[in-house]
Amino acid sequence: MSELRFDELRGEEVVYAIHRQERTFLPSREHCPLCPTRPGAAQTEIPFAAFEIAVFDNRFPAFEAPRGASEVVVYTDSHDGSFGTLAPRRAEALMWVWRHRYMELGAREDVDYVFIFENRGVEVGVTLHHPHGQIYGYPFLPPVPELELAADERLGGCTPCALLAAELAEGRRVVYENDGVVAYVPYAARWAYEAHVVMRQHRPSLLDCDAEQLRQLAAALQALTRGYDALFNRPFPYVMAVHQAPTTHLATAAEAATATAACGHLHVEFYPPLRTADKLKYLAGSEQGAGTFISDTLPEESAAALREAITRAA
Amino acid sequence: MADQGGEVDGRPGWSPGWVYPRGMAGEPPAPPPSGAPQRGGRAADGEAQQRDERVGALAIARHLKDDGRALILYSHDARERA
Repeated sequence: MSELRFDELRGEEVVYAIHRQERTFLPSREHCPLCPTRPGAAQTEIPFAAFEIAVFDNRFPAFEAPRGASEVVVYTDSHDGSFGTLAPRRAEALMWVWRHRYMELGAREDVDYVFIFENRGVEVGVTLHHPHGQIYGYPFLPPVPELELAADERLGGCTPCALLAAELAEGRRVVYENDGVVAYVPYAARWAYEAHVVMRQHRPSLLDCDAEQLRQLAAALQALTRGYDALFNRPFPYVMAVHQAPTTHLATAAEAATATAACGHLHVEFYPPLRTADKLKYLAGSEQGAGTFISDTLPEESAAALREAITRAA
Repeated sequence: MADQGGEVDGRPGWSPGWVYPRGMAGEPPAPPPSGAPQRGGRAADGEAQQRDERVGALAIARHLKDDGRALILYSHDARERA
């Protein structure tokens, strides 16, 4: 069981999950715990010979009941590939899985915030190469979504809606759009190729999206991740973070299923650590000690390169 | 200068008992009784749940792993593929 300690100086929780020190670290393909269990071979995390999408409780959880949840989402039973190379139908199915996990975890009293994310690449700390993501059910509201809600309060409305309108009006940083979703490098991007994938209409969470919007979200996410790989012609590391409305208020699954939260706007943020094909952006003195990002690139120039890469990868 | 565990101007100063540990808002809910179904009634002992559960075009099959952890498989079912 993890321990939470509150850092009074920074005003934030720190999680001590010391059992995670022993978690599986970059196993060989033959010992991948996320592959299906082959006949005659040792049992993996998924004791079936084939599957489409699998979700299971993390063996090395940062959070677990009765104080939160940690789940692993395995995108495919194929060891190779990535989110971007999934068949579009599979990517669309993954949106439904995310939606279902948001509803189910969000209905739990011990989960205040459902955070769906993917770490891709050893550069961001991946320990398993098999295509997968994770879900944390936080037993508290973490600082980043709290800041987003504070921005809504400060501006007197939905901040992602306002930012999207501004980005569409200016246009220079938009890298992809379809009928339901827009992707752009934000005006104040911290990472060189940071991108935000935002629902055009105000949708607090995946629960508020219809089937067509989920399909369009999957298409946008795949277009962006394929563009990332095309940008430097190499697998592009990133952190993918799905931001949605907190679930503090969702007392029951039925309530969750019909919820139209007033706060939050579904969007997916990407934080890629590469600033060139072979140079990483490190969080150093200013970023860690003062909390201010120093960027070596202009978002407008990054957006132009990323837009071209997305077009090339389509 | 008062030490951190004493009083400052008659007000309680810092003390480890006040600062650490600080609980989260609200008490965690009590764990379910032993043997009670969790998360929508998972089946036990590796058996898939019998109820026909779906999300979108996906069928949901719930299992329990040998160590008690939940495993959920999502798949396009036969009706969808037909």
